[in-house]
Amino acid sequence: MEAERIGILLGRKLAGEITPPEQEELNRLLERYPQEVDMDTYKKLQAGRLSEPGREDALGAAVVYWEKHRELMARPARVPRTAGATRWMVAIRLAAACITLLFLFLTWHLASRQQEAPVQAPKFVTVTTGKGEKKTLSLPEGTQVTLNENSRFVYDKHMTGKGSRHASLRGEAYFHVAHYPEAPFTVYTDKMEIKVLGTSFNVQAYRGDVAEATLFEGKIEVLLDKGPQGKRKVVLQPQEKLTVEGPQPPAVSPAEPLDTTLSRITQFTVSEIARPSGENLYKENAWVSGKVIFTDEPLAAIAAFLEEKHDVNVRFLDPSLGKKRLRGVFVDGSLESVLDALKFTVGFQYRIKDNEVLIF
Amino acid sequence: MTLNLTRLQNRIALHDDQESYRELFMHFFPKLRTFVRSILGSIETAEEIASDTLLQAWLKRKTLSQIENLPAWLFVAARNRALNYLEKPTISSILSLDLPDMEVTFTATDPEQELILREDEIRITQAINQFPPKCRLIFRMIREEGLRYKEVAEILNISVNTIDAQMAIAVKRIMKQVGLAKSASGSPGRVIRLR
Repeated sequence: MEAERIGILLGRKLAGEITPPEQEELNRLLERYPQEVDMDTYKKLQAGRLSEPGREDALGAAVVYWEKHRELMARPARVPRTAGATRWMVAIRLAAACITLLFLFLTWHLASRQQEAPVQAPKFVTVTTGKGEKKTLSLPEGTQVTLNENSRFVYDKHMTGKGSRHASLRGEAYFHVAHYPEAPFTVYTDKMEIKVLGTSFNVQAYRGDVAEATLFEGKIEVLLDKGPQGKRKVVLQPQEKLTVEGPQPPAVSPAEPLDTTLSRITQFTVSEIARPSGENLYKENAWVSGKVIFTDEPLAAIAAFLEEKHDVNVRFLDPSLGKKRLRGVFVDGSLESVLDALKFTVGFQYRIKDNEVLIF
Repeated sequence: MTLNLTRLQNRIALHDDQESYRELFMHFFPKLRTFVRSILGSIETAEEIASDTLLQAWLKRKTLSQIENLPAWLFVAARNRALNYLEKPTISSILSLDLPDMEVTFTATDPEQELILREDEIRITQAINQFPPKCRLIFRMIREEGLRYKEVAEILNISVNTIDAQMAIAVKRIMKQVGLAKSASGSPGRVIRLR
């Protein structure tokens, strides 16, 4: 009897239906009959989700039916009727519906024939950026890509809204992928394989041990290679960032223009990114609009950023100054313009001589 | 579930917004298709019905903003259409029908805390796929679609008690099967922790 009750309560808990008194009851029962329940498995069950295999088919079908649907939608909105329709009206409507259906069938038939037109073989194009250089690309099917400095991006010049879309990246880029549910967009980097349906996200994948993918809108699936544990899929929700770590793979020039090999990673984490500092302006994509965001960071860390960026040495006369924390959005311009902005926020003086910046 | 239904419903009702409706269509079409397929078995018919059901929502769009629970509304509408398709339209519960077997896949979604091993995913998937079709349909509607007990009861024309009983069976079967598999293989449920 009580075992029965435990099952019912666990079911409700799993469905998110359990009330506080029921939860207390469950706790009491679990204490008394611990052998009834394998909590380890139950927790796993709670943490997972169900899906139908062949979800891709379902999306494909959705697209086909959507095309048919669009024609049907042209009919005016139904306003709640006041008087009953006469038989005549019903007959006329039926006839009209038949004609529409026939017309739809014909147009759909024709359209589906057109779709069978041969897909062009992929032609891969490479775009690179040098130090301090940024480029914005419009891909043939409408996707926008902004490349950050020192990056290399390869894409298929013949990609369309049908069939799959492929590109590879080394470096950093911000993507705004055109939405074609039937044409998944895949970005290959050395540690991540990112599959997208239509969305905006940022990828940082320079050569090195750490890479990250940040999702701002939509949904992406990232495939990782965990070595002996096999491939692992991580689904990101908006405002989530995936950071992966693994040894830098050896530099070999790939046989194919589009390198799809995945190197092994040792660990990964998913974290929520900090709140936006403006409309769609996050620390992770600020570079696209030429800005840099500091979120509660010590001045010393910001100095390190400037050293890297402008090839200078930053020294603090009073080391405690380096511990001061600050936050803000800065325009990532010349060294002087950033220092000037910081000067007023933090309250310090600076002097630049050759490659030395002295802060006091 | 990042879809803001209320906002979409309002935009469709007030501005005849086709883009919002498209989002709604793409979101619900696969769900309704699966649901109807689990009643009728035929995938083509299921697609027709899913499409028709959504078209009704568009044609009635002026009143769409007044629908409080759109998922439940759509599932009930799809159910009615599906039942009309049967030779002997039944008003009794869908669970009395001869439901087809439809498989599901279970995947872990919480990579941040505990990484669920692939074997556990497979064991849980196997356990779910061995449920009787009725139990699986209820379990899916709750876990996959996030519907409430009351809504599932209404859609399937059964009592909340039946759902309680079926969910209890589901949870117990999974725990039992995964537990058995583990004690047989002798591995003490390894969990890999990531930072």
